[in-house]
Amino acid sequence: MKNRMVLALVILLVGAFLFANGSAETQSAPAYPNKTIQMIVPYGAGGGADISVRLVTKYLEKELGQKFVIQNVSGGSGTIGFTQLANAKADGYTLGYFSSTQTNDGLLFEGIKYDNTSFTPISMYASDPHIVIASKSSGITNMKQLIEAAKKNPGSLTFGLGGAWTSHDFLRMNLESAAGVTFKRMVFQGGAAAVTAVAGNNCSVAVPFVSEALAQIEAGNVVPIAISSSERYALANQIPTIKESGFDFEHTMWRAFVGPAGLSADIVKVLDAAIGKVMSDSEFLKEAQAAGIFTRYIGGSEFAAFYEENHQLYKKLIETALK
Amino acid sequence: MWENILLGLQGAFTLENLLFEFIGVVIGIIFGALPGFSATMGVAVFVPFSYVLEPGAAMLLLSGVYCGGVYGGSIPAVLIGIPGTPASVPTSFEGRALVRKGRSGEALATVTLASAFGGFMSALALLFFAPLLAIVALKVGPPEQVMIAIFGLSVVSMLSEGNMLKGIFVAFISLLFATVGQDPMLGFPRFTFGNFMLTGGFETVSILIGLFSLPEVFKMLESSKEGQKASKVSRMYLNWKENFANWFNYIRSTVIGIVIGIIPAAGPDIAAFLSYNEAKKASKHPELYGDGSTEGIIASEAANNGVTGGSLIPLLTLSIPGSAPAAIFLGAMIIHGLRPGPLLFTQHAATVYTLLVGFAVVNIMLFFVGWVFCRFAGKILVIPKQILAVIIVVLASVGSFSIQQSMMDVVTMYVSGIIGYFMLKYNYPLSPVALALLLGPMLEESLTLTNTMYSNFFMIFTRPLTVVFLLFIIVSLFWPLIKKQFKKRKAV
Repeated sequence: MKNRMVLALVILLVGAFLFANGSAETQSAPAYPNKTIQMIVPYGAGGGADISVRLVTKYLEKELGQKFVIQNVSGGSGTIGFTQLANAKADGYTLGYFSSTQTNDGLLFEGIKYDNTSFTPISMYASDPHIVIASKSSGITNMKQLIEAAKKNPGSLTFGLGGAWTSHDFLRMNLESAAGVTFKRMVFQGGAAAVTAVAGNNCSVAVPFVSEALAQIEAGNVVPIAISSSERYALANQIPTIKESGFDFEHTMWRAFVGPAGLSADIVKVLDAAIGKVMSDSEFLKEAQAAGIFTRYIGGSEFAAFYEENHQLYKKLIETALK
Repeated sequence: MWENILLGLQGAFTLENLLFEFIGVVIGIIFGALPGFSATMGVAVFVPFSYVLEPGAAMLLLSGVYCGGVYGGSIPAVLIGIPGTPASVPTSFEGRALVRKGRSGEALATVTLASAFGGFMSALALLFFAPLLAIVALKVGPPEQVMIAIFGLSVVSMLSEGNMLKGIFVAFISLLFATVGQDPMLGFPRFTFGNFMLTGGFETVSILIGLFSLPEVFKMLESSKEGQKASKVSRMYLNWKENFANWFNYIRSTVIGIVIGIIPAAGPDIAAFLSYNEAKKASKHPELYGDGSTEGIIASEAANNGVTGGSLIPLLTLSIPGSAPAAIFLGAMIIHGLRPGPLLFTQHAATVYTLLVGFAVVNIMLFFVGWVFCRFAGKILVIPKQILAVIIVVLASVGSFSIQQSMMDVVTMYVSGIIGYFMLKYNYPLSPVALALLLGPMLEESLTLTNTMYSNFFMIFTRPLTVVFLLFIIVSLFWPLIKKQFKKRKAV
């Protein structure tokens, strides 16, 4: 008798619970976003990618009223994170960090399933220029001398890179084809190591990101030659652009947010608008500058077109290099 | 300079900053002490937390985590023979033996003193000689790195005394495993068998977690009946006489630590191995090593904590991170607008000197916090082995996963643990694996770079520092033989 009463009570409770749940579902779903958003960063905490994403999401949280959880899925040189993002549900609650070269990873690494069609571009938020630096013992002080030195001894001027198939390496390819020269590649683990080698006169030239090189420029250990963006850098205004040195040349590594393929246009619109707003927030811009982030916003259909164009550009570069 | 130091004293001793130093040290020790969690991970986890703090407080919190983490790894190394971080592997050789002799408290006290000493001295080097010592980082180019890597690998011969062939065999196989992943020069994947998850190679830390903790777990399970008996916990006790007698060992080990810290690409783990090796060679009682030598503990602990301050020297002055945790430190500094470089010391003098003085304070605090922590941690020995075994397996799994949030690393951990168990069973030494995996990539990269720099390899001997390092290697390798000859002559 007692048992039966307990059973009835349980059924009643469960029923009430189910009913309550059901009725909640029948209400119209609240607007996107209504829960925490996961942000996949395929590189380690404290690195350039991580720092910039954390700063932008800090302000995005204010705009969207939802928390962002950053996941540093850094395995497989980043490929595991991008694969996870490509395979994620396209509901707008899993987004990720993205930069210039990744859509072509399939050409370089075996077993990669993602390409340009695996992601939905949302908006670009930064674009980092490189600084061309030379060692003091090389005697090179400007772009003209650099190209002359490379032409004088083809294939023997050492050129430090932060890694194979990184933005550094692509800049080298672009510079080589623009100036008709070949350099001798020296591949380091990271741009900072390349700068150190130039400062120690172990390598003649390197093309680190600005943040990696500023300390050694200030210490007077390396000679800054040119910056690879279209405009000079405010914090190091004495350094000319490569363009000013007479080469029609520009190369930056852009950083963006993307989602998995098939993200609905409405969600992209909400996110893009919020990112756009953050990018014009003066407080954000101040913090970004202090952290050495080169903010640049491109959103909407303009970024979608840029994303495709960029994919074809790097595809060509890699295919030529692999030949 | 003195003005700045006063400024730093003021900053480091505010109540709030003292609190963050304390919190940092406690968290660091816990992270280090849990098998499977390392100092690097501790710093990485707390970087996002530090974003919301004042720059000075943030840096002090991270310093605490960093120093505490490097120290904490040695606590389980002593108590249960499982190094909490790879930098405590040499300590585990000695600690285990001392515990068996019922001297766990004494071992822990020595670990605490040596760590605090090494860390404190490195903090002083950082405070007073940073710009001077940073020059060393610039002088070390690829050819010098080749020499350091070879020097490090030469320690294998000491670690495999008694079964040299097996030790060298293990080292070579491990070097081979270290080549899996992207080729450093051309960037193409090697030995990945089409699996993109291996593009970055095997995760060294997960291999080491598995290798050093799982075999101990299996051993605990095998001897469960005996394990149910509670081990004895001895009181924390510092043997002043023995520690004083080791004054030269203290200094040598700290200097090795600081220098390895300054050199990019070599961290606390390599410093501990090198210093342990040198101490054994210089020792009057090398036969005690592996059987509970306090000298060995002092050598490895003073060196691995000596790295902490050393690695910040090139970081702050020239933006060159001297170890893996220092690289994460760099990110935290940048987000706070503290861009390392020569201008840092003038533009942000208050914050930087707060960090520099605070770093010394952290290491003093480390001694006292560590002492209290050890008194509680000693109780681990009372936990029944079956329960301890489960806890360790859980920690090892979570730790491996959290490095880069990849299941692949967890699988790697288990497989290497099982392999490690059989290696022990058939008397193959495990520690050469650690050295080969840590140094293999460094050796390969620097060798390739040296080859690019010099078409004639022998040209590297025109570099003074390369020759100095080479002489070190030769003397270090042949010293035991020379010593034997001397002794013989004396006897005659």
